[in-house]
Amino acid sequence: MSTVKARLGDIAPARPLRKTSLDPEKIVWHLNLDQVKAQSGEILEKERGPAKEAGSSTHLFDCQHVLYSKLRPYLNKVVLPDELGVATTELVPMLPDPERIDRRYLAHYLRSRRFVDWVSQQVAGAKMPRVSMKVFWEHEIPLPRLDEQKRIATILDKSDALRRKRQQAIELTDQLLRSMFLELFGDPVTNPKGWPVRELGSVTQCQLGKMLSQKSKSGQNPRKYLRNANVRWGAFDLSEVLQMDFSESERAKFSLRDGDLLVCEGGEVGRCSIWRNELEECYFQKALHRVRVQSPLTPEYLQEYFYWMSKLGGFSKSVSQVTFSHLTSEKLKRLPVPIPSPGLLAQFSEIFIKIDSQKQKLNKHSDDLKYFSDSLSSQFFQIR
Amino acid sequence: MITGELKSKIDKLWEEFWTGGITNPLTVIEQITFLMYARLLDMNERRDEKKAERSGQSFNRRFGSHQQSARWESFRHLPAEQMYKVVKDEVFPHFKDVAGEGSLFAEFMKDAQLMIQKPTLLVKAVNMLSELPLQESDMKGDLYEYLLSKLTTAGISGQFRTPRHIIRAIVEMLDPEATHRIADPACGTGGFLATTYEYLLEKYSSEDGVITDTVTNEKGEEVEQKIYLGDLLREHRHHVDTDMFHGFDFDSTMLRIAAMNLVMHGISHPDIHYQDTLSQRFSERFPKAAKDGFDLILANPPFKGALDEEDVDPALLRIVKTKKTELLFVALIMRMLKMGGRSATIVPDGVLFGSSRAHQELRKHLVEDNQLEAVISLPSGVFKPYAGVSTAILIFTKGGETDYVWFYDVKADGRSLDDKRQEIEENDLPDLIEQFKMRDKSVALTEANDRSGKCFWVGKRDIEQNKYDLSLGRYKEHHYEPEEYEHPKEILKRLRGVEAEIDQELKVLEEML
Repeated sequence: MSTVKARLGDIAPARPLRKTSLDPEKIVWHLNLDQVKAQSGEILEKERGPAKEAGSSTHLFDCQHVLYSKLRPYLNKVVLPDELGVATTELVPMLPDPERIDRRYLAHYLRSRRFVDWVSQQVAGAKMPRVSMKVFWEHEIPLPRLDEQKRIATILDKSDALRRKRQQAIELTDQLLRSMFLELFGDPVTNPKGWPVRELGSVTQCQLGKMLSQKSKSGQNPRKYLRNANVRWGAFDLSEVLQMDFSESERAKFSLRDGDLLVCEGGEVGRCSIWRNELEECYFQKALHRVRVQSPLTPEYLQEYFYWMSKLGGFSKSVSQVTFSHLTSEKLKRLPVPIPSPGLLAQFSEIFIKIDSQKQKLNKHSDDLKYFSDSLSSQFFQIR
Repeated sequence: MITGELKSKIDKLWEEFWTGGITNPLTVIEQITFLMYARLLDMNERRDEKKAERSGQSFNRRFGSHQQSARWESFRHLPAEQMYKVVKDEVFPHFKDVAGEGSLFAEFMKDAQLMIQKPTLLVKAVNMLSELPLQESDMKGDLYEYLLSKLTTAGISGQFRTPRHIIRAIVEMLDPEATHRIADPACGTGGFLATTYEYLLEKYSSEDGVITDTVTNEKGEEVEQKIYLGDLLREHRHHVDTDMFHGFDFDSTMLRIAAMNLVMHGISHPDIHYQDTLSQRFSERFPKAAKDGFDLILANPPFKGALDEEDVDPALLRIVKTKKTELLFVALIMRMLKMGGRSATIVPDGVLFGSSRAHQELRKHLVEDNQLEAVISLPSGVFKPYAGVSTAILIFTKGGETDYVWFYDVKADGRSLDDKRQEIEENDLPDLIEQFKMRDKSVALTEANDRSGKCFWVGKRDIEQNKYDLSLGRYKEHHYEPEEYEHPKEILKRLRGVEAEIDQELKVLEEML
């Protein structure tokens, strides 16, 4: 089957509305690139103001347009506006010919992985790469019949909606975990259930990692180590693991074992995750504390405890305000920790592991959906 | 305020120097200062000549009969090569003769050297300076300040120009009087003194002494400006001109600029001296200034800089034994104040919490033997692009004993806190001034003293127990607002709901394909 094709410049040229037709006092939507979420084109916030306040390098659009961001095309910012507004000229106001192309079809096409990959090569400028529009307008888009376009767009809309729902479900599992924690133990800062409070240093072993230095990069006994960037909330990002030298005694001192909690010393202070032997032999750098838990405390309880302290302001008294915030080992060891009953702690760990495994599954499913949606669009839009 | 048109004239003059090969901002300002001085000399001479014509009385001539060619009006129309020769061989050497008069200001100009190499640049500069309205006294100060605002690099000893809006806030808080003797022991370009004078003009203007005028700013908008004549200051004129303002610095270029700045603002004989105020020579040369001399000291002393301990005045070392200039300056200021005199001093944060013995001793002295009134924390970035240090303003009165210290947390000063320092909306300074003036010690022990707020009181005992730590972070409390979550069962119900929807949607999709 051969598909008709058309040049983007013919079928959806840049054609903003005329500004002169607009009452300058009228309150309209003011859109700039920061307000567009990368990879989805979702609008993060809508600002409004009188039309006259828009700068000179802006243009007027409405719900007939597709706004295409020519700046950093790999961020994939394609907006389907739902009302009248003014936007920065970085967002090209494409006006699709309604007789020949469906607006949503065009948007899905521009967002499709293969188009983004292709257009990311057609850029000029190193610091602020922009699509060279000449090439862009020459690009030929496959054009099935209009009703077929609409069908494709509907399917892809549905697939997007599914992914959003999946994301929502993942967020709910996080909330579920926090809510369970609160239900069982109460807020660890105010400690409403009156658990006995101990200093962290007296109920766990805390160890700060090895200092990174020129000397430790000589290539003698290089070993993998974790640094601040590897630790996310309740997860590790192991896409880039660096190496430095660890002597035998250092290897003993800075080793990691299953169940160790790794806590950030600076940056987002207190961000932590439980080590589950994700890598075979791995050590850690000075930007991290290793908190080795002793019974009856559990790493699951402590990870959530740190979440409360860090995310919800429980730390502010323990973190030095001077220059930038750090959780020194002295301060870490002095953190007050409520010690709930062993029974409840065990119960929480069990729930934690269940919820966590559920979350893993959901994440997996989310990846599957992404793959599914990419495969759909590549099937619909044969790009060569 | 000066108009946008005038600003662009100065910008252009600046560019001419730049393209003419003089790129050190300090040199540019110094050269412009010399040329301005040359023009002022001629202007004053003409003024006196006219007066003499009318009254028939003679006066001390600045230009002898053989020096008439060194007058601005006589050389400014000469062709380039000729003008260059006159300025180099007559005008600058003439400064030395004028210095013989004995005015301190003239004294600073006597070592002037022409650094301009190109006659064409000189002509351009002279032409542009001729266009500046130096005869209008209410504008000269602003004009010179605008020139100074182009000083965007720190001096050799790390001195930098304190932002004028910060100075203005400090002056407003301390509210100087026309009878005060005011000093700055490290005066730099004289910003504190000049701003104090501007403030006094406003404070001492009657209703009739305020002229409202409309000018065009650099954006081309018409804005209203007020000119304060300071008519009520007249009875204090002699004091204001001769004994009110005292500045010291050990950088002769800075001193020249400071002297010019004050003269341009309208203080005829500012008492500005070349002096390292930390050295023993200070007490010897200026005994009245070095001890118990002032009602008010406003300063942003240098934070860094190597020091010879042998050179430091032993009297200061007895207060605090250290080599750190920021500590020594606080000790010096305490010494220079009269009993009951007040100071606002900008210090780097280290002074507030440093744990060395010298740091602790100095803070103890400040709290136990003086009245430390306020610690105002400034965001790091207020001194950009010169320095990114975090600083605070210490306000204290000499003598007595501290009971409660007022803390204020300035988070924004109306400029972006990066190197650009563009104007932004967030600005705590107006609130700071208002809160400072309204501060009420009687709430210190009540519920109303909210330590999580923007400003609050801390008692001396609390400070003492914290090793006299004066950093705001030490006493500021943070509100903890516990997060609320739905009951787990509710969340589970919603989760199930979402899962059911996903399942349904998947079915629909399946049918569509």
